[in-house]
Amino acid sequence: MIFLNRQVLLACILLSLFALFALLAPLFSPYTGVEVHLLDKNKPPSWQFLLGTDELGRDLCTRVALGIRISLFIGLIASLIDLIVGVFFATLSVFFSKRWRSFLLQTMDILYAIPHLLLVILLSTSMGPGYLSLLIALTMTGWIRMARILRSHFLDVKERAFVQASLAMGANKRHILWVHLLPNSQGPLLVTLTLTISSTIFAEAFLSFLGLGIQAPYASLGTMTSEALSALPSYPWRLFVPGGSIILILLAFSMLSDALRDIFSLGYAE
Amino acid sequence: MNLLTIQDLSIMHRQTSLLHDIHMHINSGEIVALVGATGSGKSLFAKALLGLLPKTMLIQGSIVFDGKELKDASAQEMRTIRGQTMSLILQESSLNPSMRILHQLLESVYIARPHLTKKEAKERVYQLLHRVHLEKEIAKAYPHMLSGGMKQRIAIAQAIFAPPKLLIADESTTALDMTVQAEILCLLHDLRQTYHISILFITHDLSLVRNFCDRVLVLHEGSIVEAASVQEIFLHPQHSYTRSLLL
Amino acid sequence: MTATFFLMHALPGDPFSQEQALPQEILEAMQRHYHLDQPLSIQYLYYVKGILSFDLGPSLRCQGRHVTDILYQGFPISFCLGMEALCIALSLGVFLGSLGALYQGKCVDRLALFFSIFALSIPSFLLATCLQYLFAMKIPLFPVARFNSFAHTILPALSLAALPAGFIAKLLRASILDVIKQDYMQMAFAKGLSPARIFFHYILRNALLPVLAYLGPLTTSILTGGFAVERVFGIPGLGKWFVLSIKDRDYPVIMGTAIFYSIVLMCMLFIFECLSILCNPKAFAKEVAYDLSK
Repeated sequence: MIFLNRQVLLACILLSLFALFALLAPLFSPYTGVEVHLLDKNKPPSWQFLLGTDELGRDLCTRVALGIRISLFIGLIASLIDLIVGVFFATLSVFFSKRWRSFLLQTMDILYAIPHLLLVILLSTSMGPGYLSLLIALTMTGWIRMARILRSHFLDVKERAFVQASLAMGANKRHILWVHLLPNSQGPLLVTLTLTISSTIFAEAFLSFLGLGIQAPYASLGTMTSEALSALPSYPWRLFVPGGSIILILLAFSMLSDALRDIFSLGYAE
Repeated sequence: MNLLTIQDLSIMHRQTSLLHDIHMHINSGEIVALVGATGSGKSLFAKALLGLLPKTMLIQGSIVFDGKELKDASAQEMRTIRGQTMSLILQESSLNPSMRILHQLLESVYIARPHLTKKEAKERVYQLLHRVHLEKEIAKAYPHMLSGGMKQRIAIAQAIFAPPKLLIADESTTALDMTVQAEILCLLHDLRQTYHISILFITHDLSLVRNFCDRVLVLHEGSIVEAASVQEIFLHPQHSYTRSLLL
Repeated sequence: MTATFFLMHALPGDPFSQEQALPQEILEAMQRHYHLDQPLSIQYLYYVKGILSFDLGPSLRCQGRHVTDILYQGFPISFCLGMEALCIALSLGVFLGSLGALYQGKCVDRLALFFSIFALSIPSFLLATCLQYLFAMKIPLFPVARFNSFAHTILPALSLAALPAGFIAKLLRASILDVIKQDYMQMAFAKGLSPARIFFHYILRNALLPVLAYLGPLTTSILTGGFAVERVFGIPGLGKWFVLSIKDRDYPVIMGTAIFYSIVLMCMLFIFECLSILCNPKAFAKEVAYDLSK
């Protein structure tokens, strides 16, 4: 039903294109994206190297596809974990007794007040660079927004008549959660999920650009952008290909979340 | 003496006729009630008089106010008319929530008398507040701190400063409870005596107008179905709709 | 705020406990210097005392330079850049948002909306590189790097301002559309006020309130985004030092800069939150029951 909306459709098509490219290109490519062709370094796009090569002669097309794989993968996994953790804490904060609830809320407020990116940077530096620490850093900070939004939504739904009726009939908390709260939270859940994915991909690109994220020889789109920086005047395609991919992916998620917001008629509250 | 004469007024919006064949007049110092159900076009009528209808609505007919045909008036002229000779009061949420009462009243003062000094203008504001039976301290407050009745008094104060020749009161007592309603009506009545203002009192509640208005116009589905003096309406209602309102 | 300080302090404990690359003696020396062997409350006191006396320790890599020197050098530059970006973002955002709302549905609105969606999707560092390529290298309109004159600040500030501008524009547009439907708008017109006055005192004053609430987080994102942009444009601000120190594993610098930055960001958040409360009459003026008098 939501796919009938033109914006959603466009965004999904864009994303699927990227996903397909990321999945299939490395399989069909004659290059591995890691091997070095020093004779062919910094070549512009040609039939031999579809998107050109970087300073070590690595095929950009394959590299970008791999980079998209990494960026999307991290984005999706981190966001899913955030979703689960967020739902968990939102449920806790709605159902727990007063004492625990206020403690939980205080912690959530404090964590929410700390700027997201800074926290991720700090966590990354303290754990050392790399795949895993990036993932951990991103997940440890992203769930808060989800938890907050879901919590306020849960509170709303809990006050509605059918939930009250259910409670009066003796339903226990688990039942209320699975049968009433969660199914009615599709809207905020989907919107926040797309927002989280978007901001996770952004954070990952930012960190990799700074040198904190994915390390060589693997590269995410952010790392490639940073590598392309020094070569900018002479070899601009090295920047535009990964950079353009980031922009388009983020644009797609942004359109998706906007369209979802309109569909589920939510405000711009968060 | 005719203050406002309306002839053949009709308002159309994209092929739908919202108001049609409106004929009416208001004399100086009269209080005329415009009664009708919600959606009958009462507020539309008020907006048409003030020139506040969106451009998508087509207005036909003649509106002559104070000797001037309003449809031909330019935007600048309409603004002057709105500020000085024609005023409006709405339901209670008509005050700007982020400005203090003093500044909002000062706005009205400066529109009517742009050459006053700050001190004089402030004095006038305090006089205005006194006239509507409010204390000076109210001027420092924000609208959300005041009760509905107080906000309406301030709205009235805003509207009568110039003083205007015509005051349009659009459902101005609907959101208030009975006692406060009566006080506001009393206040309007006094002001009419003092300043000789004409009032167009728009409401859906016919019972309110009995002790307050001179004439009544009944609006039903976009046209005026009955127009008579107050006594006539209450003693001998002609139209079935008027009768249904009185029940 | 105190709780936040505790939290911030708890985090930096990690580099010392987990880092094995440092020789043992240096580790212990630093631990003693930072009083990490003391209980947490005492650490907090030392920490505060240290901050008050501006002693954040020497840099490991750059001998003879204290972290504080680095901060003094770099921070004003980063801060200036950030504030400039904020000003641009606010003006651009308010302008586009108002334009879009007032001409709703028409070409101008669609254009403004398109621009804000686009601006929201481009990370600041990407925009920075694009702008640098287009306007500094290909078409030599602006200087490429360094930070020597006002002209040097335009491109970096623009790239930092784009995302917040887009956000503000969208938010303001929605807010203005809400405000226009209110009764007091009709009253403003009925009073015969000039359009300019109506716009600034009735529309903007009320519509900017939700935007103000977001100004804090937007500023922090501008200041953190500054790290990457400074790198692109070679601006010698805090970001550059921070990134260098990460690469060199220069821990005192990393910690010092991170802590300092966190404090600055917290302060900004606090200031903006106070500002938004002050500007909202419903928030700070309590309900007072006035007596009617006749």
